[in-house]
Amino acid sequence: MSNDAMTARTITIRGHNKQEVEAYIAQPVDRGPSAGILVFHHMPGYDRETKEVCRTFATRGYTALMPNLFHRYAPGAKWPDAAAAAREAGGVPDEQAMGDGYGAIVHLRSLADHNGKIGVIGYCSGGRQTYLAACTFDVDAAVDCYGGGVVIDSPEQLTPQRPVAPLDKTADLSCPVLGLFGDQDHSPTPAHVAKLEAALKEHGKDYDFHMYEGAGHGFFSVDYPNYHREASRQGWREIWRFFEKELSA
Amino acid sequence: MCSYVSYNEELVGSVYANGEWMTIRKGVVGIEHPIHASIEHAIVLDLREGTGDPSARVAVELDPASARTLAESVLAALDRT
Repeated sequence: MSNDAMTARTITIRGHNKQEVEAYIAQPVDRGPSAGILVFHHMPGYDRETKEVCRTFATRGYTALMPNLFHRYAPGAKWPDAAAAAREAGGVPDEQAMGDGYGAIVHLRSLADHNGKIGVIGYCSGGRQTYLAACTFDVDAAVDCYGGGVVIDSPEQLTPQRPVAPLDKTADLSCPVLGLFGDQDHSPTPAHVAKLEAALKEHGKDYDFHMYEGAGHGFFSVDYPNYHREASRQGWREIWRFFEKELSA
Repeated sequence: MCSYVSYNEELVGSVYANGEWMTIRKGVVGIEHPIHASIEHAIVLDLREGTGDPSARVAVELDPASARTLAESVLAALDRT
């Protein structure tokens, strides 16, 4: 009989500038050493569905840790209120998101049964943060799920909070990238994905991109209107294959 | 679309929700993935008490066409005063 037991709970980690940040951790039970997966939640927030994603990773033998990137804007508030507070503040700066992500990586590496491997995955804005993290930190695998804004259309899209297009950091990419996209997405569009692929090719990076026909932005999101059963099913299959290959000790 | 587009405005007015009136001092308008409305993108509007309590707000998610219709109606009403 397979063992899919896991535990999940809310913890506090040290994030950007050593600040305390709420985070959700899901860990397998009695499975021996496990790889750690940093999960960047999507733009709507640190919600029920993304916690479910963390628990799903744990049932497959991975330790998933998701920092609440909106926590410091409204500590203790309900997640939609925290998301609104973050929006009011102009959104999460990249530097802060990377600081929180790094704190999560440090926490994952400190766990007694860590196997030495770190994966990163993120959805929507979290896909962009995933790509940025993979270009900033030494990790073993990254999954960009329809990250918008990795490729920008004009320099006017750059802001003090998001001063660099992640595409321009491709030379620093530290690991193989799995990219999962929908051909009906408006951000990233198939043209954005093609541009990202060209940059990865140019820099000789290891990548594997999949473009699902008929799928739009957020096709993994079971609580949102663009959930696409077939794209989600195929995407999950690619994620398991990719993490099995890249994150085994 | 993870637009990161938002506009913060000072407002004078009140909102009524859940049987209670609340004075508002601030409005935040953005275009984002809505949390509740079953559409891909929405004009998201937060009408805030502005006291620092993150829950002291009324949140509105409108599909872009509805938001434009509403905005035009607001402007039309203002033009008749």
